[in-house]
Amino acid sequence: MSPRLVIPLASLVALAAVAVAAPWLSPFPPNEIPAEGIIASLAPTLSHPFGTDSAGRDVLSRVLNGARVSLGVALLSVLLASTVGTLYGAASGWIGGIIDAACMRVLDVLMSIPRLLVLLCVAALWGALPLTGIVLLLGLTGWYDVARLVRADVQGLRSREFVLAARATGVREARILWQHVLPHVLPTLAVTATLGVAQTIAFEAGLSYLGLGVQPPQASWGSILSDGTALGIGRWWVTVFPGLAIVGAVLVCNALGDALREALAPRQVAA
Amino acid sequence: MAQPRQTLLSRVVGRLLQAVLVVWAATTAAFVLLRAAPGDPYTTSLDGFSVPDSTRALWRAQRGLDQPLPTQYVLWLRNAARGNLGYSTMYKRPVFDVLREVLPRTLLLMGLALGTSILCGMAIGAWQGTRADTTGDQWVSTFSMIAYSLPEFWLALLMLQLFVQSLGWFPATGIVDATYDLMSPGRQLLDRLEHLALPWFTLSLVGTAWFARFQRSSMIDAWRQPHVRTARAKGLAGRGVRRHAWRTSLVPVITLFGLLFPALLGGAVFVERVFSWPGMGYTTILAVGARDYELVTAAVIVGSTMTALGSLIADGLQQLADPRTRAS
Repeated sequence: MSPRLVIPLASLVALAAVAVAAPWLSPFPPNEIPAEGIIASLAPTLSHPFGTDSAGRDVLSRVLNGARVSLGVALLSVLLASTVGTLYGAASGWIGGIIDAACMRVLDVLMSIPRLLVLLCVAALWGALPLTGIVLLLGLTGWYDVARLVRADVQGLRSREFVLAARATGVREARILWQHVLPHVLPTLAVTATLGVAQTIAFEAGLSYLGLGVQPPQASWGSILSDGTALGIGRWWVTVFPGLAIVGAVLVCNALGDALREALAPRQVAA
Repeated sequence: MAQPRQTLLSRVVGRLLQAVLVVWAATTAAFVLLRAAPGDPYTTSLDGFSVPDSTRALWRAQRGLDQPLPTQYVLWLRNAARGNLGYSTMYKRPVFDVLREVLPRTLLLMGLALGTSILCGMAIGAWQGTRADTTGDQWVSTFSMIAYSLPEFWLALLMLQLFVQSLGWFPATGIVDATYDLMSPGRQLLDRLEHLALPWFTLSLVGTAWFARFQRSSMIDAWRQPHVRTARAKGLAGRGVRRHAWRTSLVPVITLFGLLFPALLGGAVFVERVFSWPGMGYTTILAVGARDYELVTAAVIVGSTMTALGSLIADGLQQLADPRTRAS
């Protein structure tokens, strides 16, 4: 395996490990406001390497625990988006004909509504969403690309010889699709899902920064940031550290997506 | 290519019709979605809690919000067809007037950012493509990968904290200073540029990275094309070859234009929010919070129109650049 693949993959695993181990790694409770001896908005020191926020909470602990929420939400939403997108795209491409055409027109409409606008509307109108709601929202607005690419792949594979051969020997349609066609779609899926995680991390952070995503006091990378701006002249540490976590995670996923594309070379995924 | 003109015309008309249908469907979805949400513009209006329910009911009746949903929809559609997009309950002005004020600000910001991204991104990417995998290319690739991964709102926040709050080099918010009207014309221009600089830079940096990444891989592909190889083998060097390769590499890059349009729109929402740039994005965030139905619906119309327009333009440019796509 090339280092271009190994380095981001290892970084992602390390990031996931940090997220899982966050409660044991973090020196202070991330969400509770310390009752006594509050030192609010403290610049980075030895005991608080990332400083404290306006409520006196340790930013390092919040960033570590925020990784759980930010990465968890992104992974689950992309899982949901990939599932929905694959089902929709595969069904559309496999059935073909007028149903396929109709499915694609529906997709055209869905894709023409700017995603951010939908996220803003739903998140703002329905008020404080629980984590499940955020996962559903991000997942159900993130599957269009997957559906389009999977459908293109399936449509191309539909008339290939091995499919005809399977059909000729009497294999059921559903089984052909599941066992013979979909495995060929996996490279496309792997690349889009990886790039999708990068995009979703950024979206969740943006929404939470606007106060519409993960609700305080729960820490996600975006919700930590929103505290840094509400009151802050010069409190750079509340902006910089969670932001670096976001950029790092997005960068790792983008690099992994690029490397996967090079290694697996799916035909459909554009840069 | 027997009747190219007619084919092209019917194609354009077909695409336009499809775009109109798509925008209509998106708008209808927004209309239903907004009214399905709990609350309405008057449940928590800024007029405070002292307003009795009877008054709120009167307001609702005035704006037709007490009608059943289909009636409201038909009414809205009839007005929209006449060019009347409704009334903004937040600004207490017709939606059209609000749009006329805020949309040009966003278009200015987006247009500048788009232009900068295309020019810089193409130049950087094409430069990289002709010297792929050299040290210089790898450094630039690393930088553009990082820039590409920066969320716009965070970059905007950094800019705000560094250049506005710490260094004080740029004014904080808005499009012009409070004393704008008292300035000389030259100073007025400078003032506008000072307010524009940071949002413009933020949006352009990410856009440039987008374009550069794409142009690079497209240029590498073009560099390997037979006609470029032939030109080099025949002894054509330097600019001549680069021009040949660059033209070929444009075709896939153009499709990115259609994708960048909505992406920039999304980025503009955050950038406008951080810099309090009173454009379409900032207004939309406020309007959603205030449940300003007709203003949000108008924002969806604008957003989906821009998206549709982006892909239309990309389609048209692609056919200009690549004759093969014209025959269908």
